[in-house]
Amino acid sequence: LYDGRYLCLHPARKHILPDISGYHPICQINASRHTADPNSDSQRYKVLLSDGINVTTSIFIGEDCANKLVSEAKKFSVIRVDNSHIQRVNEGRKALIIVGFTVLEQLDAKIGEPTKLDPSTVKEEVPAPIHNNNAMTSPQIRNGSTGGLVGMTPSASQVQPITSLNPYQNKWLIKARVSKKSDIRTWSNARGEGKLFSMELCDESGEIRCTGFTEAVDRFYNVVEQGKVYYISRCNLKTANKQYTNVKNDYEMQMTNDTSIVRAEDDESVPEVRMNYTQIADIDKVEPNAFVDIAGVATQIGDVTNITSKAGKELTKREIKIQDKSGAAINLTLWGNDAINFDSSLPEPVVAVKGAKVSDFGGRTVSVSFNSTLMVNPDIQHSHELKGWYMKEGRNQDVRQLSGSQGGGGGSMETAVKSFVDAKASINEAKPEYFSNTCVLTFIKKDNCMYKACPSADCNKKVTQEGESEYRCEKCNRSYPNFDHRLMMNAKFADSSGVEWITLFQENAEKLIGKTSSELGALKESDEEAYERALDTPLFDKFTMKIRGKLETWNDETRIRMSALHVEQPDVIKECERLLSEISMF
Amino acid sequence: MPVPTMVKSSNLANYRGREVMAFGKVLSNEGKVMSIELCDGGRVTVRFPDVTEASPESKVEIQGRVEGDGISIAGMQLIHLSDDTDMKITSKTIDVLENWMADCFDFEK
Repeated sequence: LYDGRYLCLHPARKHILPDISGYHPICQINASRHTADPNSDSQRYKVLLSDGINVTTSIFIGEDCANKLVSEAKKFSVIRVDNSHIQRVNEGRKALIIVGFTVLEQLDAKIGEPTKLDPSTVKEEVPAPIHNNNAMTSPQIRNGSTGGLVGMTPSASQVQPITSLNPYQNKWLIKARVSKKSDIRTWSNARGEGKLFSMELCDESGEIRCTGFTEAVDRFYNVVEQGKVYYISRCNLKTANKQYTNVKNDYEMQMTNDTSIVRAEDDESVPEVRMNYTQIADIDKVEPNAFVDIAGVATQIGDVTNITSKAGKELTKREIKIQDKSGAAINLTLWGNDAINFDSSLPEPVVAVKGAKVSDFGGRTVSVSFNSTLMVNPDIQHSHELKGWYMKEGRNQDVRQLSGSQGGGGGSMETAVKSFVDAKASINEAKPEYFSNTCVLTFIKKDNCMYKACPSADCNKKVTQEGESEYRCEKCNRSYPNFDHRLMMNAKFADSSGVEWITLFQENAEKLIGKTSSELGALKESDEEAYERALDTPLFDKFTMKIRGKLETWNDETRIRMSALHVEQPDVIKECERLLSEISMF
Repeated sequence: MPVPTMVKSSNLANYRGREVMAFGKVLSNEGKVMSIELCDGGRVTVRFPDVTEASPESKVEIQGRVEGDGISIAGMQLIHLSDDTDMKITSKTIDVLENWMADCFDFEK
């Protein structure tokens, strides 16, 4: 195979093409070394490539190439160049820039005795390319005074794929669809103020993020429309800041004064959005805070709820349970306008999210973040296939819940279902464990399950009696003629794995007993026997609870303390479905 | 006394002459003869020796012997279930018992 005919940088072998695009030459790595790029942080390697007769120096750039050079592509590997171009460098010399390759085979020695290619022998012949659409000639666009959608329409032959873009190119042209366009954001700090907007561009090869600052916002924000296709050129390319984007490209673009954006006719070959789907069942293995592209049928749509963040900010959210062909379902959280504007009357819609953020809060959940793109019933093939599958068989399929059995409805039980033993095994000093459990109440510690509390709103501190009708609160620093009864109860619960003491506070204790603390307090003062019976009533009933377990140290002794965050009557049907699902997965 | 096997309409014919337990919804009741929609959607006729009360749409458990035709049951006992009994869950549970616990229960394949 490697007789020189198949191992070639060019069919004529002694040439370096002015345009290598469209060819996928096979060659051998004779040597490689990492070089520092003063212009950016991107990975860059100098590699000596051989075709068995000659060797030439090439530059491999990008994270993908770097990873392969470190792990698979050792010295004397035979590779196929998948993505490359010729770049003119200093003094008119040409450099072969490679951004993608595939390792074909690892050999132990070099093929032949290749000699260094003498540049003076290079002839500028250009053989007929295989694909006549990626020539790197200058784009025929004139940048009008508005800097926007003016100028001659570029031709398709000048366009190059997004994945071939890199900072070493001076002139390039892409044809891409604006898959996402952000709102204008402003900033103001000690160094000044300004505004920016960003958009995500995709073509059939890949995607890239493009940001415009200040003047670019004025020039382009109102003329660029999400979903439309444009010819774009003359942006600065720099290493992508992964902190602000989950677009899969090592580079991102920044608009300049010379940037040109020309509307192109809508071409079905330019995808509407580039999705790299992760099956819901595989999200279990995805690290928290990572971003995934997912799609599924919404089997449960929760109501909009308002919560207050730790910072005191009012937040709006909605939870949706989505299911796909992998046999798993997961909770998807929408925030803000996405939550409010979601049409909950749609019957089992397909929901797709590009860049959904993964969380490990109670198993696995995903959410639509600032950088995500939410699509409902998108007109894409994957969506139609999902819907068809769900109507035919998905609806009756047993599903594994990644987010806990009680999620998706009111959004209050967003935790994985665990037995006491499994939950305790997961608790560590770093963070508390949140889990759901359906268990049986076996015992209530009746002594000191109620206390006399300060009657002022939101205080709840225990008061001390100072007189016959005088109760002092140290926190409020005043005395009151009365008090409130409040519950703080320790109770024992049993599940299939064991028994645990769990602390329940006011609201949850009231749900357990089925009486308010005031009613219990009145009973205790008037009829002790009735009070005792009231506390015995819920014994051996089943409850579904959201529990927090954490390690606490008291007097040099470390123990696991469990407290109930939410208590409700078990939903028998949901519990049965969960158990049947677990059994069928066994 | 052995526990009667739980059946659905799909496997009823496998238990001709044997005592079974079935779950479903009453479609019609003519006193001694009832038409029941079993938990998997199939219909079966149940004949009781005496007039048995069960209103249409109510959920019931039937214990009886499968007759020779494989599609009707000679009813021996009727137990009323609550209206929120989920027949889909019941059907899945019988599948689980049949597939995973055949050794514990007397299922016929």
